[in-house]
Amino acid sequence: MELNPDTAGHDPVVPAALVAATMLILPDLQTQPWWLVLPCLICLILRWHTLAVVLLLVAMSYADTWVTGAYYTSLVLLLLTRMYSDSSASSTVRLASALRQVLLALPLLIVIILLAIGAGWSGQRLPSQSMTGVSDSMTPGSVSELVNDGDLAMRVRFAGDSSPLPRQDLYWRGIVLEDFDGHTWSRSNRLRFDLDPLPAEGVQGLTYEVTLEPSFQFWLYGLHQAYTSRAQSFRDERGMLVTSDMLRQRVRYAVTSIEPPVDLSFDDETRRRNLAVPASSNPRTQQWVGNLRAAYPDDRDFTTAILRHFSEQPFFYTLTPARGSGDQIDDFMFGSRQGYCEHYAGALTFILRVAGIPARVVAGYQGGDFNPITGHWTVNQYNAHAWVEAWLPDSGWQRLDPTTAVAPERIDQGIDAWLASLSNSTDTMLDRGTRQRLWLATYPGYQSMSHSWDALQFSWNMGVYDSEGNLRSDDLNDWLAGHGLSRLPIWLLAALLVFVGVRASLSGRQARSRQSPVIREYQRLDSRLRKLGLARRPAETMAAHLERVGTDKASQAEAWKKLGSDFTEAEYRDGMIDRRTIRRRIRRLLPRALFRSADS
Amino acid sequence: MDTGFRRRVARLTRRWKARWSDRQARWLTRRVPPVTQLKLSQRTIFILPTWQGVFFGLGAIILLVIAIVERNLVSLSLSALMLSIFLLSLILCYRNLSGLRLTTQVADDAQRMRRCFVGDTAQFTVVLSAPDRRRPYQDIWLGLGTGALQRVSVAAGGMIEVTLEEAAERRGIVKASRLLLRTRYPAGLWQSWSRPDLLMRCLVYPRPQACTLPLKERPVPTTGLGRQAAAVQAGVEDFAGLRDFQPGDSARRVAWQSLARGQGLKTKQFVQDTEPQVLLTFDDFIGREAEAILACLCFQVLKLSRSGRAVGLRLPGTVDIRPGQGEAHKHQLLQALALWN
Repeated sequence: MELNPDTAGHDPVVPAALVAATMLILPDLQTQPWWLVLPCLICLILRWHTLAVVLLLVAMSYADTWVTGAYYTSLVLLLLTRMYSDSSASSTVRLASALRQVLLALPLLIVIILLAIGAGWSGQRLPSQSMTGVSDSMTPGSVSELVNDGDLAMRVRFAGDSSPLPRQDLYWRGIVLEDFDGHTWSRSNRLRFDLDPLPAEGVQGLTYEVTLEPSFQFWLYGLHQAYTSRAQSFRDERGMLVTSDMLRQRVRYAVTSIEPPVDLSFDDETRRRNLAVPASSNPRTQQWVGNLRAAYPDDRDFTTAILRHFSEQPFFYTLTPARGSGDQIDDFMFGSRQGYCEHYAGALTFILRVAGIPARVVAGYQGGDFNPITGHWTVNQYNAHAWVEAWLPDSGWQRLDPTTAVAPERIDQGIDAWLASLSNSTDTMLDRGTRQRLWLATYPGYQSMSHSWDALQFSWNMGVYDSEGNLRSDDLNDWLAGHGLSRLPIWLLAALLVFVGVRASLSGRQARSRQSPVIREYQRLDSRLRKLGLARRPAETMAAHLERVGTDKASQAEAWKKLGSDFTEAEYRDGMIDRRTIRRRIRRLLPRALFRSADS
Repeated sequence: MDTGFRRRVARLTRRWKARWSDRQARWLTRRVPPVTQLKLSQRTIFILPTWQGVFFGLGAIILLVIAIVERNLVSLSLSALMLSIFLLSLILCYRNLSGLRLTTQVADDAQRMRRCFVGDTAQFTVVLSAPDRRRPYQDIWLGLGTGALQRVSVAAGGMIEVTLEEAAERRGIVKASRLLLRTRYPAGLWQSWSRPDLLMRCLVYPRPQACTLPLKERPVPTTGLGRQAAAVQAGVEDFAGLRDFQPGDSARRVAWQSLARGQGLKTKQFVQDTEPQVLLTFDDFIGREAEAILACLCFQVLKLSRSGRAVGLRLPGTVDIRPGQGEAHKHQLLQALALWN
């Protein structure tokens, strides 16, 4: 039984919540998830604290500017004000406590942020290790070990014929790296958009759908010359598909690929860029190329000769190359002679450029794992690959893969099969994840099991998410929009919020009327006694209070005591004494009491 | 078909619960031994997150991880804020009990103990004081483990006296259950509690049971005259009421009027007020159960004391109290009744 009168009185949380809801209209806050914030405010008013906390936390993950950060901090204050454990405390006390908590939490906050940044923010990795996968720069020789990353990169399903191309022809082009500073291949940020539509006639196109996992990068993958219908995506004239938004979530896009047309138009600027080599870098290789070029003046002959050189000389394909220093390509060509695709692609491009043949590095994925259950290709991060495109006068841009010259089985069979075929001695040089994968693959049934799991995930993704990676709620949205009700959900939530708010601000009165008549009578008496300085003290029962009042007025001690026990009796032993009797007694006692106190 | 399985399970559960609470009580006795004065500290305060707190903390950690993965600095700061509020709440909640001083007026001798009758509520008083002049204690729920809790707050440097009640169910010296203090200050994310035993005791008298003193107990005049003389003397006293006729009653005292009215044979009773001394003994009510006898004796002690007569008490065993008067004497008698066994 709550004897304390509702000292909180007017509840400021309700208007504050309504203001917070209205603030969502502000331009800075329009990006925030109203479908989480409004329910959170409703729960706040209804005192469903746990639910409000969860909703607020989820909404916080959408915060992206410091304005929204401040907004959510004020919501936290509101929440703490509401969650204050003493429900009878005044709203000022609660707000002060909430503010105090937030301020006291600040030092702790700084420590946590420093810890979080120190531990995981930069995603530190040993500098001598590199993960497979595609990034927008490539430095062969800077890492001594390639860690095979078994994560999924993308899934591809071809329309019609489920595998129109053999595995060794699946070169998923990602980005083109044209700039070389002697060590690192990178891409110039200047994009040259190709706005031409897909040539409609005369070409046999391949159509397929790519489901790309979050890459946190700005480009898509496709075969040959790819055209996509995805919004916010553009075609670069080098054949890259560039997006204007970072791929933070899984996206699905349809692609049509055509064989690269024989395009002999080649402007000087492009030629210059694709021939640029730092003059002083790798002098030994430059000199060697000069000699060889004299023997093969024809571009095509020269290219063939180089590839033959790679396959005939003792070059090795390995994931654990020696770490070079100084001129990486010199070291690679005449020293270690071992490396993985990046070394070969980098070296070949350099050689071709020195020889006067325009060339560039292409990074992307090669191959994939065909899943017979759903008929799609699964491309993992360890399928990442780098190869070369060279411009030959009679055929335009032509794909050259030096890796096929060195380790053809790496391309033909896929990297896993190639790794498995290696001897046990090199096995120990691989990283643990890869060894585990290879070991599992030796078990019969593992392959079909992983295929089934993969197929299940793929079907689930196709069924549940739409092409933008959002849950398929389009149907409902379309239906609502069709009936002119596209804003219905937000209006419903807003109406609910207002209803709950109004109800809560009226509930103080209702709570009082819910109390039993005896308690209300007592509270009325208490408020009158307060004027005489005889209010109930905290932790005093009704009987004890009135008895104390009685000792103050010695002549009426018995009467007050009787009144107290009557109150208790009426409230707890359901009503042998009714309210009217009590009221009569109070009336008999109180005027005199008031009178006397006025006297003295 | 009733195989009694459910009953057996219920019995097992009950037994298991009883054993568990026994264990807990024993553990608590070791951990928080009974004392009359206690300053709450690390050893006596327990703290755990509430469900709300679990959601708050876990949610903040999950959000923190998501923010790190997504490299969202704003989100990271917000989640760190939530997490630090959660951790800070632990400290604030603990501090809201730690250092609080609990005292109780203790009375080892039954004379100064609080008193009540069986069936009433035994009252115990605890004093809570905040020794630190700058640290108030807010929103503490206080009660005896079994009953309802009441909310108290102690101002910085101040003290309050709290009266706790527990039903008194048997006579004798009744020990209060362990005290329960709990608080969820400030935001209900953590709950800290303490179970001190402050050795609070209450003396419980038997519940008075209305009865009449048997006739033979009407005090015999010290002059040593015969029964007849006593009756004559009694006859001049005030008429007190009627009771059923018993063989051997004097014919002069039969209420013929009521017989004429068809109300049966009654004997008139007269009150003897001239002799102020009464000696109550256990044998006065012989034939009843021992507890019932004590209840009747209790009633008589109260009634006779109220009418201002000197009352003595003799109980089997060592109790033999000379007739006397006054409030202290009355309580001495009642105490003897409460503690007799």
